[in-house]
Amino acid sequence: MPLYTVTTPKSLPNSRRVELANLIMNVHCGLTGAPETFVNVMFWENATLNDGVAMHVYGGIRKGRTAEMRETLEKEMARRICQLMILTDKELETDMFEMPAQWIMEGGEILPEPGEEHLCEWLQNGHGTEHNQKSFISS
Amino acid sequence: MKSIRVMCTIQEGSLGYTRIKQLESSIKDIYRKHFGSDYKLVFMWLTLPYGQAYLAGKLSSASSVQLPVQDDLPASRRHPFMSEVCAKWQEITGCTQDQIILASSDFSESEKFQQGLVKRFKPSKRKSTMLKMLMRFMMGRLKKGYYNTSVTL
Repeated sequence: MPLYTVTTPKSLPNSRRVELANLIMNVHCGLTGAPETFVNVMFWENATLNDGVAMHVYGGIRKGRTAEMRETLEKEMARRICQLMILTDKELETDMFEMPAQWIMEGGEILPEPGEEHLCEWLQNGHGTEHNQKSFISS
Repeated sequence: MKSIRVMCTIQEGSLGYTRIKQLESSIKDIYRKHFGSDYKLVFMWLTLPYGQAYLAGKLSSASSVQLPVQDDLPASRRHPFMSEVCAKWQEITGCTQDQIILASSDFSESEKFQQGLVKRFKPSKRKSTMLKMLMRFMMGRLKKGYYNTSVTL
């Protein structure tokens, strides 16, 4: 968590997926202070979205932030994605779903509440830094 | 008996039939041990083609599992269950603890999350898209022996 599901009517080139995955991570972590190693991005393709919509981004995020933060996150995420993918605001749909951190286990541990990451020993010891990542091979 | 949909998202080709059936069987046993036999778990395996999952901006090989539990289950019961599922997943697949992400939400919240995913589809196409996915899951079961399909629709 967060888990962002990006859905498009057509397949995106690998290079665009990488750019978008990094942008989502940077915006999410930049605004919320969440560790980068929490940010999952998944791409679904060949979907029939609403008329005129070229991309849908569904963010499953940890519960516990202020309404203002959530609004800022949603707006800034949309703005930056539109900028990167050269989309109008009508061509992008975003939605977010909040889930208690206590319901998620990653790295064999229950996730900390938003803002309490610094108190989390297992996270400070290098969660997700090596084993579950591969170098990106351009195709 | 309450039917519970378990959504497992895995990398394409990462787990074969034997391991998948072992996972299904073991998780059913763990669920029964913790919560009794009033539940029927139905596993749906979603496969992610190479290059469609990222963690921290890099390609990810992690699996994610949505395994809902009864509403308002206290952490004292939820967390030991989750730990056991993750440990069993690692034991069967040989993955590291970082390669399994488990969400055990309340039933009702899990349904809302799934509904949010369905809402991304064009309203007039939602039923047909869900039907298409269901057909693919069933075809996948005929071909491989377990419900599976790709996230590429």
